[in-house]
Amino acid sequence: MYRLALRQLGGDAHAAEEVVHEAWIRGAERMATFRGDAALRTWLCGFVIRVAHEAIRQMGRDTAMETPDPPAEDRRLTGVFDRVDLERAIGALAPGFRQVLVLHDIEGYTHEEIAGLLDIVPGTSKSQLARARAALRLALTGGAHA
Amino acid sequence: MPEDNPFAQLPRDADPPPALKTRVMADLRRRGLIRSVWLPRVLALAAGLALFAAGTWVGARDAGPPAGQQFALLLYEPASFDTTRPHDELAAEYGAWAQSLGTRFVAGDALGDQRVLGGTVGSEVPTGYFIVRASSWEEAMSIAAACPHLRHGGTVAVQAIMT
Repeated sequence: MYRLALRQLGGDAHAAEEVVHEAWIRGAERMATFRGDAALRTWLCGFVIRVAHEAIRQMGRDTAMETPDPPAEDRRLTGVFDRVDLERAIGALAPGFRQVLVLHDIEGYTHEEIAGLLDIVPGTSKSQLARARAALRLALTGGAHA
Repeated sequence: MPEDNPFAQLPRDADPPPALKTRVMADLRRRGLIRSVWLPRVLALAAGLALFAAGTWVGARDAGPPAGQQFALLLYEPASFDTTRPHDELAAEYGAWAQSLGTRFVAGDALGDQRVLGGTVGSEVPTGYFIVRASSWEEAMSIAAACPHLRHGGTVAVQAIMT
């Protein structure tokens, strides 16, 4: 949960602590609604994602989420990259890109799930992911093939 | 280092700052959201990061216990019990069920090794228990019938607590 919050917030440790704290409170308040049809950790991570999304919006950092047009090509990132460089590049992405990339490519959420969590449509999630991948590829390779 | 998926090398979890655990626990207590309950493992699992290992869990805010008698639900795992499900998942499911009982839930926990004095007891050993409050045997049996332990092939013995 903490790592997820940290990645969603681009490595901002203080903000990540606040998000995890608030996520626990919300989870505790709604515990009676947990029916066990998903792992409890998955259920709680939903609160982390929503609270992190709210925090990003409040910080006014999610302008990238409004970008409508996907790039012409969407390719999953492949290649060999240093882990530290990769984390740094993810952290430097625009928040709207980063949220979707972390949820889809690292955490394994579907576009439909992301749409539900971030209150967007699946098409926006796909568009954001394509742009995030392109931006990450550019940051890691400087435009070389990856 | 994986070439096909560079994200696979990234760790999925991280230990939170120790002060965070203290702060969150204090806040949950202050808000009346913690009660002593079933399964430290629920939280150990949920936290995925040992955020709470204190053996307490979070409960709904209650107006106070309802009137009624207490009953013990003793959980057994006969040969029919499904042992393939990870214990953590069961713990989460049982914990959530306990929470759904609201004020009818009193306590619960897993049971470990048993040692006997003064003779012998049956070969079946309970592996967990819940204590619930109910207004009648019928209500107690109704509560027990919904216990997720039954869905996994377990048996539940209901016994009145004489208080």
